[in-house]
Amino acid sequence: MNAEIFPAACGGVSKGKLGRRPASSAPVGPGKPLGGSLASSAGGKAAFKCRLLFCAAAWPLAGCVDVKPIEVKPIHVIVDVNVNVKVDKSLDNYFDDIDEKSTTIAPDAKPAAQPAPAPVPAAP
Amino acid sequence: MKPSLVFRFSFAALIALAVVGPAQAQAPAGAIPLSVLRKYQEKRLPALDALKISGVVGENNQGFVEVRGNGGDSAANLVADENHDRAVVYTLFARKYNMAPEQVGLLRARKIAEKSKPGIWLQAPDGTWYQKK
Repeated sequence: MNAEIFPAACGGVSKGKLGRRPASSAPVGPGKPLGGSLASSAGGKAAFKCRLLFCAAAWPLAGCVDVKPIEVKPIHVIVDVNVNVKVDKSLDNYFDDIDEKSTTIAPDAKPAAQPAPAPVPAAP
Repeated sequence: MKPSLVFRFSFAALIALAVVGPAQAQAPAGAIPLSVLRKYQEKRLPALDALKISGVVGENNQGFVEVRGNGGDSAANLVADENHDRAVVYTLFARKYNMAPEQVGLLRARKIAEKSKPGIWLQAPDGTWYQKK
């Protein structure tokens, strides 16, 4: 990935080949040979080491690129609803005695009993 | 002659009590247990109900009672006492569930609007007053 982000710094080495030393002495970088000719010059060696170090240092940063925000809204809504239900229950527990004695507040409406099903008329 | 250490401490404690004492007396929530509050509310319930039935007092959309007509000082005092107790209750529950007392009041207002009998004056969420049918 770093090779794609920093092609010039890593000498154009593709992702799969990073860290491997090429078997042949074919040029890998942009116009710069790697291998024997590189080893022969002290400056080229230093430059190669510098590139390697740069790539190695930048490698851990690759994980920081694609961080997606976590969606937390639905969880928040559920928590709010649960808290409201709890508060409602607590308020009911406290005010139920007062409401029962009050003449202006009706007691809690209980679900009406289901009427018995009408008898099915017998077939003639 | 220098004052002793004990004398100095007791003097400082007296000053601290004089400063902090009144502030604590005004603290509403947590000072009175809920069972005592409920007894106060039950005691004033018949008078409050009478005012609500006559239309002098209505239930607003914040979970409190409000004087709507001309009820005199007695009605105003009764409403003020009731609202004080309700505010304490809402504050206690709000602390318990880590929310604003106003939110608890709103929940109670909704419940009162649901359970109130016909003829009672209620305040809608938009602020308008209506008589429950």
